[in-house]
Amino acid sequence: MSNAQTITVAPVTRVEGHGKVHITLDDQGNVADTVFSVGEFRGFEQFCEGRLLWDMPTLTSRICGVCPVSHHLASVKACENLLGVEPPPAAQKQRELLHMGQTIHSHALHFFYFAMPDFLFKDDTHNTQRSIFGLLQNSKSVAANAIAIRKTGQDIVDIVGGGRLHPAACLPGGMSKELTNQERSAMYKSVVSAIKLIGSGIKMIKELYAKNNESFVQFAAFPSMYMGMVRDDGLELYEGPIRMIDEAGETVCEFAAERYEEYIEERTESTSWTKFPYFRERGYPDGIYRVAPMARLNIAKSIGTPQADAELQELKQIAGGRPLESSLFFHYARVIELLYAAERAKELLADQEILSHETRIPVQRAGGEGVGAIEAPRGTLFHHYKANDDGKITSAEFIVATAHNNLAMNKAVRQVSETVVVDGKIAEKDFNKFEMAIRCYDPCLSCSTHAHGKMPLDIEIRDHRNRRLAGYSCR
Amino acid sequence: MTEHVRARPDLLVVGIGNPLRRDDAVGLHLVRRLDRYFQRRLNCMALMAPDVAYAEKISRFRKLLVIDAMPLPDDEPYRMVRLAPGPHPFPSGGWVSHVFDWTAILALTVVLYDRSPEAELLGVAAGDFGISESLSPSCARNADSAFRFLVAYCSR
Repeated sequence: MSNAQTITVAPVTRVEGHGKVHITLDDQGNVADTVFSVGEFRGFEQFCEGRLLWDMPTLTSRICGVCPVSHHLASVKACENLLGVEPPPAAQKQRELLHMGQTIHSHALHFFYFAMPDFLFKDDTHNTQRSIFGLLQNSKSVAANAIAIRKTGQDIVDIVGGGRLHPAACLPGGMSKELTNQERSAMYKSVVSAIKLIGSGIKMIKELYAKNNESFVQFAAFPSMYMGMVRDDGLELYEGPIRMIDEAGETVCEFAAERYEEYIEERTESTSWTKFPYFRERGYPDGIYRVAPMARLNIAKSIGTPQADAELQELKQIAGGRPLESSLFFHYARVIELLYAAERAKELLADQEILSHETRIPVQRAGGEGVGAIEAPRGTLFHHYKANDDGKITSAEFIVATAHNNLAMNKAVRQVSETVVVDGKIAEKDFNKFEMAIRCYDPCLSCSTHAHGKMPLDIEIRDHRNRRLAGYSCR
Repeated sequence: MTEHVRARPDLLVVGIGNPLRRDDAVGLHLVRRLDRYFQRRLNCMALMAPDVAYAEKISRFRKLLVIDAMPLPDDEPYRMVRLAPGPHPFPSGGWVSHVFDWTAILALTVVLYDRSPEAELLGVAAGDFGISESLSPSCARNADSAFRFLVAYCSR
């Protein structure tokens, strides 16, 4: 059991960034409030000011080492929106392929490396074993498949993006390079193999959810609105209008990315450097909405690739015609999206046009205002720039996926604390439930504050006079 | 390159470093130079950091040579060090995926693929890790010495 001393558990938690959970008790020792806070500040938006518009796609890909492609793409889309240009079809296809590569890499990383250990090990398994290294020792084939699937995505990012970690190939007006047939063949072969391997991951998660359905549907479950990009009524990760649905699954609004400010407003809280976006019409905090895989699949009526479509329909049956509410279903949805990304990459690679030599159009320097949006692995990402006539940035605004889910993550940890805090204490085996709740959202805390560094998660319990009663640190 | 210089087919050479941190990139410089010298017939990779994604590929070779920057005495331009797989089963909390060294990668090859190459690290003397894309003059000289050694090593 915890007490007034700090309990230190190593190694790092399986989230990206530095987070903290504060639990405040009332004078009866019951949970009065729980807050998830992100305590690092970087201020990326500020030091973009004064930089040339042309620098932005490469500069902003440095916001994150996990989802640099998302920032790269959202940025180049914002630049093109500002400049009023549209890249050639081959460039659009290459960019979507690049995006699928990152989605494969990011979703495989999160599901197999970060989330899977929560499912394969019991609650009382020591934190040091409940990790990718524990997985390597206990489920060799799962681990080998995970590495191979992720590598497929990493290789696509490397080849199409011109850099394994931080891509540089997207420029306002198109792509800086063409694809060769040899590169296409190598990626195609790898993607076909990955689709088969993902199939085994899908089978695994279906068995897991069928076996634990009752507890899973109750874990950090609550109604909310959902937001995501759509193409007609189907899933879209690259280009399309943004749709919001309500708790019953009814469409509330649909808007072009450029109009996001009419629907979304941000609030700051003293507890976190990550902002709290909310749906303007409902106000704060009632305007809570969620983004990312579960939100996207709650919105989408179809996916558009055969295997992923079949899996979506099965998931919809579990939900019984209503939006899924349990945070744990983000993982299930994530694996379906992983399958979609691989299938879509295969389609794009089979398209002869992707080899076209026409990958770029000339672009003139100009000023103005532009917005770019994309469905990053962790949800909807907006880049909003203003530039003067010299093409220098005068204002840059990013709303990242993790921020959209900030209110929801706070709600999720609040629910967990209400179930695991007893007499002002938390049993050792229950600490991981906080992380599990946060981990469902696959937060990128570095992106959300544009910070970097280590990624420990701390949990603090305080009494109603704000005295620290207990602490838990996972570093 | 002369036509009779042949690259060892059982060898994988990995150059490692950050291209923006001056001498840290000496491994990258050398592996690219080797790649040109052997006219792309040498199995080469240039990486910024060890990555689990390459464990399977590495496991397929009989020999692995990693080239990296290393602080060394003034009179020692480079040093060869043998690398062995790290402990497996993995030590509790001993590794994290953000700090993954070559002994861990080699341990992975054993755990996942039941095979591991004989591995060596060629450390090239380096001392300036400031922000720059070029090597310091002393590191460049050390890299030249190391390159002559590497040509012989890779064509054995």
